[in-house]
Amino acid sequence: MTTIMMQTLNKVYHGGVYALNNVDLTIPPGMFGLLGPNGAGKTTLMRILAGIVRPTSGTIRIGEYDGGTERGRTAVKRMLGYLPQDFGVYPDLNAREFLDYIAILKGLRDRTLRHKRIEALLEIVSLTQVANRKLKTYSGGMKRRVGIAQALLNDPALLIVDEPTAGLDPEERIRFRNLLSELGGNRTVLLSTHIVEDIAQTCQRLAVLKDGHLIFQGTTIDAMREAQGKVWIITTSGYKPEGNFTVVATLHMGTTAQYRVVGDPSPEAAAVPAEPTLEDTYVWLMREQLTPGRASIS
Amino acid sequence: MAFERFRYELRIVGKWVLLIPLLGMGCFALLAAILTMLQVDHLRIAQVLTASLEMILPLVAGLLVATVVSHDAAIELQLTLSSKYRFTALLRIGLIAGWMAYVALFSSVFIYHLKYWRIPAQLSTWHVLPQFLVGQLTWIAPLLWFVAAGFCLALLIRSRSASGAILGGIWIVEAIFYGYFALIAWLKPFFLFPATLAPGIDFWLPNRLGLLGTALAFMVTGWLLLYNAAALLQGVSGEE
Repeated sequence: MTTIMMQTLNKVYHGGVYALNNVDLTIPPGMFGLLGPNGAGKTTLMRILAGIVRPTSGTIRIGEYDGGTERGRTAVKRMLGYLPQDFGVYPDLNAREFLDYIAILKGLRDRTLRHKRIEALLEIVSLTQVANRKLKTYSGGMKRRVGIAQALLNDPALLIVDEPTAGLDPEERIRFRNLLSELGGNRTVLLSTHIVEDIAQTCQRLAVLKDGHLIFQGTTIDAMREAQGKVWIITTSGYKPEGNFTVVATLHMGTTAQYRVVGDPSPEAAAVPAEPTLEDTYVWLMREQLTPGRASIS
Repeated sequence: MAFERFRYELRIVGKWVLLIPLLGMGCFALLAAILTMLQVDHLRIAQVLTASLEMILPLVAGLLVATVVSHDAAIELQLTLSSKYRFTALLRIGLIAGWMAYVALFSSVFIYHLKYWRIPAQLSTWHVLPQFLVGQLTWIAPLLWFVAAGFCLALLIRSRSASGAILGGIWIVEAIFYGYFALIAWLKPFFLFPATLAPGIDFWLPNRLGLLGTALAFMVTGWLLLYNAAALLQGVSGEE
């Protein structure tokens, strides 16, 4: 089981743009969620962990390896399974051939063992029946499943999946979440997404990134405590309430409308407190001004 | 495993990479046959066939390399594998260049045997075997030059069409203004097609070696560019 530790990690792109700004993060074994809006720095963090991109400064330790050295990065790549956000495939290969090719690149030398592993993974991702079809004929969900299968070829101790459910229909999304949860039982799985529901359903621990800053890390329960007393239900006769809050849900019920809001409604709004969900918490964290102390919550 | 890897790389590069040079040389053979039937001057037919090896195949190789290098559908995944992507890219380039070289060598044997080879003046007094062997530099030098230039351009520009346009532009300039390349001292090392356009030049051999040197410099530059993962990921979606 692999623990990842990052200290004062920075990634600065051309023009002084900070993709990551002094990130201190510890990722324990099991499922771990990385949440944040588009442009928060999630993909950069994933790419640094996968050894594709080098950090500008800071230290990173993945299990026993130093992610700051070439030797460390190469060692990490051997124990890594990675599903990129933009998972491209070679369209003229079928699933079996694609997996065989990636397995060869991952150094699985024994042909018999390799083929056995591929068949087992095709079974896990329910693609055995269509494994001889060219990948260009696959739907988005099927390609994602091929992506998960290739990530698992080397039985990785560390599995990184970047926006795995983006663009999937609800059924595929649930299937994918269940699969990831199963995989998280005996390895470190880092799930990056901007879909809060995916984290809520699969991860006990999470981190939230915003504009390259780590604004929260801890358990989902800790996260929801953050928004305690900040979530309200306001019922009106149809007009939209105004105040220092964000409306997260609206329910029209004939002559009245019910608004679920996160923030500080005015006293005259007759707001009723509600139990925060992870989505409410996420909205609250995104609303909050960045404070240095928040990043140390764990 | 090496054979399986090779087979997959071939599939990924595409069948057309194998077919295009074969079809191209087939067309030139057909054209030469028609010109012979029409009793066109022997020198003209020799020029056409030499051009197929010296001018056409190298340009096609450069364009194919630029196409393959500028886009890899699974580039982000490739960069996370313990097997280095730069070796994969080099293998693909080697595959294209190797196949082109095989087709060119095979064709050159026939062209030479049928006496349609435009032998550079510097080699005209040589014995048959060294003349044939060194004469292969007629196509080897521009082939490697275009392959290396295509490789380098594709990595610098990250665009198949822009790289192709630049290679095509160089080819046209060389074909139209070859006289300048034959006469101006500093342009002589960049004269790509002397056997077809000016076989009488007295600097053919140094020119070939110069082109090979330039090709090597391009290859080294391309190799170093392959270390820049951020540039390779250009065009792949993902936040910064």
